[in-house]
Amino acid sequence: MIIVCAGCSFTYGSELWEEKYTPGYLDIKTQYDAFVSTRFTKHTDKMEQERRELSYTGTFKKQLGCQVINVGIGGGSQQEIVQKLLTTLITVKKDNPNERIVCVLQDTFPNRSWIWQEQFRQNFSIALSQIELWYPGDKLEAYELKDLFMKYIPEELMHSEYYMSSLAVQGYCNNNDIGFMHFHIWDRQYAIITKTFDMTNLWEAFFDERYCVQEPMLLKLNEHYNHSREFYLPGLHINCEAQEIMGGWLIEEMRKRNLI
Amino acid sequence: MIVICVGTSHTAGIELWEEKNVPNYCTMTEEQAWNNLYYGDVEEERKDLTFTGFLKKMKPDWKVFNFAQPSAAQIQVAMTSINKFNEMKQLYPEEEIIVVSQDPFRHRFTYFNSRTQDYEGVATVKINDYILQQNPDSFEVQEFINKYITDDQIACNYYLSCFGVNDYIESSGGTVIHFNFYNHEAKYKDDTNQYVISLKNKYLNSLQLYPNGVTYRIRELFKITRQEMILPCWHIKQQYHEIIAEDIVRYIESR
Repeated sequence: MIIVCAGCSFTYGSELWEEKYTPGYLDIKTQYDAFVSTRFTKHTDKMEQERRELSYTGTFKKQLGCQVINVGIGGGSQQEIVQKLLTTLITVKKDNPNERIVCVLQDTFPNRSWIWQEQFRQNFSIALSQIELWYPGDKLEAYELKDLFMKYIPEELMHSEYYMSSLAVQGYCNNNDIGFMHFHIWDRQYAIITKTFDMTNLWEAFFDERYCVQEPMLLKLNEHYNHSREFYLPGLHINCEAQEIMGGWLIEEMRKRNLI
Repeated sequence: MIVICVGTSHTAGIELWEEKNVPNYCTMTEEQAWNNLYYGDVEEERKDLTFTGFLKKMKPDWKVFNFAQPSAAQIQVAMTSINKFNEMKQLYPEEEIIVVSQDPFRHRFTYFNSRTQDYEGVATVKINDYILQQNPDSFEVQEFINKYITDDQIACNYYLSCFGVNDYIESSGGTVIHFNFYNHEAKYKDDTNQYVISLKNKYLNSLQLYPNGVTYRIRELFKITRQEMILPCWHIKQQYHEIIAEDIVRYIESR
């Protein structure tokens, strides 16, 4: 069996390597400082591999004893994540035609978009709510970009494309005999934000419990830790212990759906 | 059987009412024709001039609906497919439902028009000045798109929306028939992004009708040029919609 996992920084393992190996990392006080500290660190291949294995996907490997492929993208938008996931699934399926393949998608936040940045000549995923942190170019340009997005690409449009891309992955998995499950970190604050589109049907399809883990993981972790913030890292990702706990829950969810 | 037709201006019947009712319409230039488009309350009449009208005549026992939106981009067509399918499923729970999706141009981007408070599609390629005059926002939107959103991203969203629709409808027991007026393999032969190419190939393999596009089918069948089959603003003439209807019926009945 091969489990292919995709998602954003929670899957990629942001801050986990730093938690384990960077002296004084846990003393950082602000999210911005944590962001700056990790974003521009030179990441070696060994570091990257260790980081990914410290995430919940490492728990899959330890507890299930199977091959786990983690293609999480730190800061990824859903478009970027789905691109990476689908290209990986196509390759894995082709190279392992007789293996049982399971796909676990950690849905990111719908207000992230994937934009082209001319100065660096490449695509970047950006979170519009924190564009000043994420945008690699001039900050004034970042705010202008945000205004343009607010004007022409309302949230419901971003959400509809977000949900559609997840259904596309679901459809691909169903048509290719790949087990599929997806889960969300944060709560359903992105539920129906209807301006012009009626999102109800798409929303219900996205949250179909045959494929979607119903409880958001952060809410579950909050309850587990009695609403203390001890499991958060300075950049607001969850720590290694919480990742392992989450991994255990996700394994149960996969078993519930007869995926493993 | 319920047949839900979605799509863009071809399926909405843009130019077809004019072809029938405006003297010398077919001999006008594009700009003249654009300025002679009639904006009166003839929407249903227009739609009945398309292949959906022919479907109704060929198959009077089918319930055929047309929910086309003239300037739609893919996400709008996809949302309409899903919502109308669900609506019909609730109204007619015992009926088989087929969605016929005339897919838009790939290079069209959906944006929110604050003036009309609705979504519109805008072409990401150069559009004519007289179109921009009617919708001044188009220019700023085009600039925004050309600066920040690549053709590859638009293409990815296009194909993923198609597949998302397929998953929704098929997993709910319905059938989707996609077709395109143009041949994506030929029209977008310069794609270099491997992910886009892979999605495009998947899309082409999933097309139930017109692998080479509707215009190719009509050219081959009637041995005519593209110029001969189209109206001034590039939509196909009303007579050729009958072929589309026949092909749809043949496909549905052969399953």
